[in-house]
Amino acid sequence: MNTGNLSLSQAPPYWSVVIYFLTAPFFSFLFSLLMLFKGNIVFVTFYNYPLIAFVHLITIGFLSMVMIGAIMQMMPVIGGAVISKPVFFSAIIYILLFLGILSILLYFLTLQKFIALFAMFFLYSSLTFFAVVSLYKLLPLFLTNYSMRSFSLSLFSLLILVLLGVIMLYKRVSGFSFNLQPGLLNLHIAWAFSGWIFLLVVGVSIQVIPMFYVTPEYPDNVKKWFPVMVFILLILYSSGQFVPKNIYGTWSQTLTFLFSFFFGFFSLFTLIQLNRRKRKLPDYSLWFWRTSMISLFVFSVALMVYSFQERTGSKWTIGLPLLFIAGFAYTLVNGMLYKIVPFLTWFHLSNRGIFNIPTMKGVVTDGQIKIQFYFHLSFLILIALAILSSNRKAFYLAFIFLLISSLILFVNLFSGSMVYHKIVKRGSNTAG
Amino acid sequence: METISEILTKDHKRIDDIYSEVENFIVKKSWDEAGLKVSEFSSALNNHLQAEEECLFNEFERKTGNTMGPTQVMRMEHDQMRQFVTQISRAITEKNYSACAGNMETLMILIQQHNMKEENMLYRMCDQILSDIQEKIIMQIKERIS
Repeated sequence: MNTGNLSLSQAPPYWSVVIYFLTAPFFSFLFSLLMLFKGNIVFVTFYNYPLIAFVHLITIGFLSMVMIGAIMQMMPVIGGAVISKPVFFSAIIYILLFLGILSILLYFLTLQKFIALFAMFFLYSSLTFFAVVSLYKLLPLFLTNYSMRSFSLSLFSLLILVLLGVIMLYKRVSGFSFNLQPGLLNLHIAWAFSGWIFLLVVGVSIQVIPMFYVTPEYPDNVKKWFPVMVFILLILYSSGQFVPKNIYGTWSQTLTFLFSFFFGFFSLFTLIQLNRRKRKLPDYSLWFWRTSMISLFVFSVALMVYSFQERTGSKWTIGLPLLFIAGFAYTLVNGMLYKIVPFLTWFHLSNRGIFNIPTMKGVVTDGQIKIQFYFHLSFLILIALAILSSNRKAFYLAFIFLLISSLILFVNLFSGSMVYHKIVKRGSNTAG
Repeated sequence: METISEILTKDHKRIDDIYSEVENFIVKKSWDEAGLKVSEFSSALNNHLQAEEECLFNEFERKTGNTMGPTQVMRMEHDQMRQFVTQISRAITEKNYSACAGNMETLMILIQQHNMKEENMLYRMCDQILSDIQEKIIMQIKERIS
């Protein structure tokens, strides 16, 4: 066996991943700002151009930014999968992705065709390059490492959803006519929600929850088969094209029901896991986990109801994606950042052989995390009220809270990274 | 028969459990119990680290001829853990809650990311590379961790 490739210390350099984590709150800040000024279109129709653009600030700008940074960080630790030129890899993807997010925003705001071409190029090249390189590194672990299996399926989903997104953009600018049975948009959303986001969360959870919170393990069968079954459901959902028209309704309804069952099962199981934790030290990241899993559970129930009788109206068309994106995914990613950034800061300082460095709680304090959590929770409660009661005041207030919450998140992470910067600088000055 | 991976992974869980008990005494500010528990934790952890370094890593290095690879990183992280345990014991003696909490949390994540690397990679490699002397190694490990 060749051990030469296995270097357990090859964590990517500090700034090459932290830059992704620091950029994410910028996009959620921008999103809140745009929603405050232009967001009232939500009350007219959900599927409109500016809103599509704004939503991508969160799904790509916030969620995918952090998820990509976290995958780069976790691959060597969980799977021993090391990218050989991490700074180059990270920089290329970061720049292309950043430009891609700005171009998709500009395109949907201006509807200038040439900007769509830029958006297609930047987003397709960055996300596909990232997914292909990561898959190349992770696929050898598919059979033996269940967490990495879920990561791989999540990355496959990313490839598919990006392709679908680009096809939709291309259709829009070229007039090219092409569609599939559940609709390109439905497919794009399904692969994004159930594939890219959900499967990555599953992969992280089965590895991280038992270890970080000292809970019992997820059962072996869940670890082995759950991600594969979700992926199979996605493939079945995508093959609607080949299902006879007379049974398509039942087919699609059954699959939506099954998806909701899987979301519900996972959220409940994870909530139970978190309650069985042996550690009792107050840990605010747990609040984010719990809020996230409760949101996913509510989402699963709402989706189940929806699967029996397709509903219309903003309560459903806005409420469902909101529960998933804001309640489940955003909350979880936000909470994970408070584990990742402080640990990376400590880890990289310690590996430089610097003594007297702060612990994780000295990098971002519990007090800082608590305040931001309350702002985030207030946002979730207010936006839920706004949607349920069509109350515009609650709607605007919600985005003021998200605006402040993103700002505090940025300040918390930035001040954490400055701890690293100052100590390294101090160390090199002393050495010099 | 149990493999090297299985025995050491099981020991990780046992140490995690003792760790949680130390933490829970600290949360309750039961400093005397925390002091006793941290000694138990310290010896369980040290025995584990020593078993790895003396019985496993040495053999791995001998077999692969590689002393600057993964085992070197693991040894370095072991030293970081030992430093944390010293700091935590001192913070418990001084009844300093915030120093305890900060050091415990960081040690926890350090241990867990370290365990992931060992369980997912290094142990599996050892199971394969050292299969011919597995019985001998397991006996030595068991002597040290039990």
